[in-house]
Amino acid sequence: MIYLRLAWRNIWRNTRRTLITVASIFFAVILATIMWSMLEGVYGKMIHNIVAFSSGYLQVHKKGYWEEKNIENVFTADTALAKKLSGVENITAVVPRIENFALASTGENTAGVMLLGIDPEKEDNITNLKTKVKNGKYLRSTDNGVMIGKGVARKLRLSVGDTIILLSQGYHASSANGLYKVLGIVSLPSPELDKVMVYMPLATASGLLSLDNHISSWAVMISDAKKLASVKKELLRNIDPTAYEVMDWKELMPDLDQMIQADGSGHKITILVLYLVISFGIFSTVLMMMAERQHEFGIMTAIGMKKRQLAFIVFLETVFITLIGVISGTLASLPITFYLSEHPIQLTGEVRIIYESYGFEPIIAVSTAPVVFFSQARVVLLITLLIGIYPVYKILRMNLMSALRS
Amino acid sequence: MQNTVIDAHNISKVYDQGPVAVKAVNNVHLHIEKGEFVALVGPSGSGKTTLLNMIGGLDEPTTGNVVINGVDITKLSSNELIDFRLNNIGFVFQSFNLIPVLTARENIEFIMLLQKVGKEERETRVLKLLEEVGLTDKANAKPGELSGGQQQRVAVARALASKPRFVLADEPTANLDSQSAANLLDIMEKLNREEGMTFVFSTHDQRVIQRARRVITLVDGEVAEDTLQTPLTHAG
Ligand SMILES: Nc1ncnc2c1ncn2[C@@H]1O[C@H](COP(=O)(O)OP(=O)(O)OP(=O)(O)O)[C@@H](O)[C@H]1O
Ligand SMILES: [Mg+2]
Repeated sequence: MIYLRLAWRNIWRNTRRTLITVASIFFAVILATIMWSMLEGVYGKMIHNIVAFSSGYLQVHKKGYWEEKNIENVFTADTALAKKLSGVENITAVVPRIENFALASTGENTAGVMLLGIDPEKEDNITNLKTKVKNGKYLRSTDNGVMIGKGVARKLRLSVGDTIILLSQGYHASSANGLYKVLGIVSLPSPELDKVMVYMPLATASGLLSLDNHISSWAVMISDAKKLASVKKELLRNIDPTAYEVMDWKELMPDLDQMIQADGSGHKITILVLYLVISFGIFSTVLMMMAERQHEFGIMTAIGMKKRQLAFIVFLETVFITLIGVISGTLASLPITFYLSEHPIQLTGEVRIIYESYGFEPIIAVSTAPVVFFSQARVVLLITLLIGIYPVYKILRMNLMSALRS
Repeated sequence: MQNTVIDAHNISKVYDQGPVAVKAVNNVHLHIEKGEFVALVGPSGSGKTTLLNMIGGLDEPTTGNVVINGVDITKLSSNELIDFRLNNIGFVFQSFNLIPVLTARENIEFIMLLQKVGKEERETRVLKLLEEVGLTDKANAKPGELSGGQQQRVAVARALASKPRFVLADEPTANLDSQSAANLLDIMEKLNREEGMTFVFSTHDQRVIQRARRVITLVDGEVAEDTLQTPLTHAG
């Protein structure tokens, strides 16, 4: 108690200095928190956009599928298992997909395409694929037709109502070919996907490839990207790992993961520099405070205070100053972050065009996840505790006579 | 020898960091009994502070032993020494004695908190001590709000709060005007007379020296004179 009282009063001995230090922590926390929430927000949204459209956050395959994306590497769509997996915490959807390469031809033009058999309703729920339809209409599960990417349409000079010939290899080496009507043309966010995607209702794809009740994968969507690892673990617990493999989007799309890591590290360095600056601020305050109070420390030790008691008080002072800065900074960053998340900054110029061409909302998304706030507060606290070691060390090593003489 | 509080045997302090070794204190024997009121005098640089620091367990003698109440404090570890000082020795320094962020009352109480004295006893003792040094009305003042003399009186009260065996005061009146100095001496003398508290203080001030019952004169780190005298009591 007396320790707390002493430490608290000590920090207000030099009100101005304490306020300046607190202010530096305050602004650093606000800045770092907002930067971090943007990082989290932008990447979270980017991951969601890309991942939802392509792989899903996680995929369950037959074991060995990823190594060899062969039509033979399919598995029976066990609906009971799918249902069980959808029940896993944080999983929002388990969507069956059939994937296979095919040649698409109009007679005059031919192109390699990615054939994707989907459950149209479920797929739309997670990717809003319906909203990407530019011409024609969205697939229904009973349709015996296809929906193609705008890029495919352009390449093969196809429009809605035209017929497309698909040639592929079916299950157990069966031949797979058929004529399908183009029911819709979709404009996909990623140009790479747009040039190759051919969607087909699951049953139609199954028929074409003689797959019966087999599928290539279950794409798994989750409610919170942060839960990726725990969901993956949970999935593995629910399936037979000798029969299936579970892969997350980082494994499915290592390029995307690397790109985000690389881009994010630049911002992380900025935040690091910010932290370095405040660390020096706090440290210089601690240094000045130590220098000014040598005599007082000497007196306190002389009259009977143990060095560790004294060190504890001084440590508490560092903690108090930081806590005031961190708590007030975090509190102040809350409304700012929430405001930015409600009224996001609109991108302009070239960046806006790039975002829009990918079908992304041209905004700087902001994450208001609690982890954003906690992580920044935690970092600053950690720094302080490290800085707080210095006075503790100095006091423990203090020479009583030279302290008294100063 | 039951009444012996300080027994310094042959203590010396040599500073040899500089170009020449300085014998700040040279072979001093010192024997002080309970209830004594001792002034340590001598010219500047004669070793008063060095000697006081050694008998107070603040500084280590280069050679010799300091025995306080039968305990050779030169043999204690630094943590044991801190505890020993806390429970046996009261200190009054020349200035800036007090913890600036604590009030007079809290400064006095502080030392009892270190000793883990119970709340009730602390409070009654603080009030009594404040009264003894005549500062009841300044109980809640911070050191910065007190005059130099008042600060030194609080320091004396704090020194006594731990119920020490003796009080060491290094030039306690050096920064005080003569009125405040006399006043501080009155208080120390009264505590000595009424409670039998042992005081050893260093001073340059002739008027303060006159108030002592025993005067030890140091010259060049050695005891040049050790005399008893009839103290002059304060007239005011
Ligand atoms: N840390 C030190 N290093 C070197 N020499 C020292 C140190 N402290 C004291 N001395 C020397 O020891 C001698 C005694 O010093 P001390 O401070 O004990 O004298 P003093 O009688 O208290 O003097 P004053 O009346 O000025 O306070 C002096 O010559 C001084 O220069
Ligand atoms: Mg001196």
